[in-house]
Amino acid sequence: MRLSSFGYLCKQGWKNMGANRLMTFASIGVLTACFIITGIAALLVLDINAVVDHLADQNEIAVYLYPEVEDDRAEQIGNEIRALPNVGEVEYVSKLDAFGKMERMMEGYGNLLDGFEQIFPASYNVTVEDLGLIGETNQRLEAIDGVERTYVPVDLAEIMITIKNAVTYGGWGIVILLGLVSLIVISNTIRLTVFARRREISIMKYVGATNTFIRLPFFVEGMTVGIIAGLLSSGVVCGAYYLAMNFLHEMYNVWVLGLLDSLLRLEDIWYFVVVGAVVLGVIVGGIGTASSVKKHLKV
Amino acid sequence: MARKTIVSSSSVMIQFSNVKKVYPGGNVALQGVNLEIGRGEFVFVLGHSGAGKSTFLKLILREEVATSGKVVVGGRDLSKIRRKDIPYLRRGLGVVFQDFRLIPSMNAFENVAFAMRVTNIPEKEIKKRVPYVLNLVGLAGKARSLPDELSGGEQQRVALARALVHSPPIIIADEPTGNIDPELSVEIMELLKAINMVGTTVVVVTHEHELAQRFSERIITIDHGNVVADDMQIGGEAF
Repeated sequence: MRLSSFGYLCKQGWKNMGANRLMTFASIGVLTACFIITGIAALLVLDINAVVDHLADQNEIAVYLYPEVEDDRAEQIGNEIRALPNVGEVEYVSKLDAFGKMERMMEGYGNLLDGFEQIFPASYNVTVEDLGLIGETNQRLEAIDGVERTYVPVDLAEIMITIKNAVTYGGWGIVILLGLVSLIVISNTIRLTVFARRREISIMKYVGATNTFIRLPFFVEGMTVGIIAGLLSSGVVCGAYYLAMNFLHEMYNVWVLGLLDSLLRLEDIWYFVVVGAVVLGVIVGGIGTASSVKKHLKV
Repeated sequence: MARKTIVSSSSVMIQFSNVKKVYPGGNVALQGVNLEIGRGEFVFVLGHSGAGKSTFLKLILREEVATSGKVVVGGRDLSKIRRKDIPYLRRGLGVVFQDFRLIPSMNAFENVAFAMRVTNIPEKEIKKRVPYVLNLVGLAGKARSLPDELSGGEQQRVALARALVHSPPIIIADEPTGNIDPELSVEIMELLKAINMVGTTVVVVTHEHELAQRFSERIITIDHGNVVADDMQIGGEAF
């Protein structure tokens, strides 16, 4: 196809948008709304996953060794723990460290602990990579010779996994559902345009236009609607995210501030939000158009 | 008026060999049609409503496919033509319809240029060719007029200009005078005759018997899906 013909067809597509401006406006509006909800749902899923991962990192298994375990053996146990699957970070807490910790906790009453320096068992704080496998990992840790007992917050882990799964499946479910709604919206817009221009299409067929030639303006129209909706929605989503982050910062809540570091930062993601929304617009516009034009090409 | 059965010319542009067309539901539109239309002929296809004229046209345009038999247009067997090649077949056929089929939002120039644009012709060529063709049909001064601003005869001239713009070897006119006044009908027929004089094969499908007798050299009559007469008229009205 010649460049001039391609330019002509693009102009025809944009002209169609002007000719059906009310429908175009309505489609951009509905599509933008769908994309905004999709974008917010996607960011929410990613953020909640990040928070859950962050909390999971805090979710340690405490591995207590028998008091009679000597330092050499304790070091060996550390190596055995590190060699286990699903083990992330491993931190050694010696008998003296444990005593010091207790001393700090009982500040002002330190003399009560005199003579008990060796009473606290050495331990390891072990983080897991996959929270879902924490039970399995715990069993392996318990089986190590020299390990007296472990403390694993299984309930908390299960709650975390439940939240993560609910948010992931629910969130992506919403994203997929709204994606389908967007497809239907754009498909109907193009269907109406095609219907309004069915006579023109039949003339085009009679004078020898190829199907590609006939389809292209509709693709231009569908994709342009998708791109505009993508740009508008990404602007709204980024704006809303910026305001939400500001709101959280201004809460001055220690717990919230602790979580803020694990959330996605707008300066790191705005580009992906814009590109993602525009690409989504192009895909939705393209697929929606393809499904609408076919019927009227059978002349 | 002397008449004789036509014998096809050596250079055949349209050929129907034992063509049968049955629509889904069992409606038989054409049954065993045999005919040949040669290069440079001016042929009227006559028949009342439902006789099979539209199906005859649809088969030539490859809008429909024959149930059996063979349709050859410009040397191409249309039963073997691939779907993607149909547009290229149609570029060799100028088609004029009873209802003009002009695009209301485009002026006369744009309507004619449209037929060139859809076939990827460069803009420079379009700007040269369209005024020339509009001049041929006597509409040089109406290039910027919208279809609504033109009379029925003028609209049909625009449609004719659109059909002519590719200089096709065959012009097919489906009831070209059906929507215009009798005086303007004569003008349109004279234009078609002039086009035929330069070697273009012209096939006019109509139910207007008088018009056919006045202008045609050959009249093919279809009735109930059969060719019931194929007559050569000696000396149609001179142009």
